[in-house]
Amino acid sequence: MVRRRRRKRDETVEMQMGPMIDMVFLLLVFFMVSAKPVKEESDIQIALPGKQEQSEAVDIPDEQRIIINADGSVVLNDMVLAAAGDQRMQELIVTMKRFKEASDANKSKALVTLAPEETVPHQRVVDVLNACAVAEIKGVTFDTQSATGGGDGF
Amino acid sequence: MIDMTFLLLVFFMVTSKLTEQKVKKDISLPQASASIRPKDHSQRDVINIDDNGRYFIADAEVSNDQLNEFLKKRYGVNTPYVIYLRADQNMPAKKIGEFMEMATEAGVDRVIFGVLNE
Repeated sequence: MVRRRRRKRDETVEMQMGPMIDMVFLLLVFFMVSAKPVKEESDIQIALPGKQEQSEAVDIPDEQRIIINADGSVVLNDMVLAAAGDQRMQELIVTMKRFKEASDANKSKALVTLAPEETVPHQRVVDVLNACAVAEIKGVTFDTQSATGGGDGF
Repeated sequence: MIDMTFLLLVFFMVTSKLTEQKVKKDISLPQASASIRPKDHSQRDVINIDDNGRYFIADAEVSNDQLNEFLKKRYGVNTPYVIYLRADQNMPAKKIGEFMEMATEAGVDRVIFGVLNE
């Protein structure tokens, strides 16, 4: 009788930790591996000219029109500011900064209109947006009828 | 040690869930060095454009008309939402122009471009 009771108690105390730890480690490794390759995304913000804003606009903001050619060169006022393969765009950034300072001094909003040709890859557009972001210009609009290079997107 | 292991396990489970919500489609984003890591991810409508120029709201493919309708419905007056545009780096700029025109028509006032910080 005494022997039997003791045996019963032993059975309840035992808990098999081995398999559980195995499983937990397996899950841990799985989530670690699956969590790693995700790259963190970041933002470039632009403000669009809303429909109402446009119709009620009183102050005429300073506006610059940047054309991106199909080969990737960036043109502002007939001046090539970044060659086709130039990713850092120092010249464009300097010009944009000067433009921003000038419009700040005039207390007007700095606006940039982008007119990329239809076939320009998105990365090139983002390069120019990046230059605008460096110069802290937030008002960027897109010229949607830029194929001919005409000035009818305003 | 088991305590710590559990803690790590929970941590990685939670983080992997969060990232799942954010990345909807396999799109190779363009790179920009001046981009900012956002602190607040809330109230964003994720719109993806793949390299063939197809639109996706989150991960559901939509036609131009459907997208137009969605934007018009959601961006009426004083909407708190912003658009988070994840466009493929090789997508032609024509598509961006098309999207911007649609967005402006619908009354969207802020678009955030999703990029990778080099």
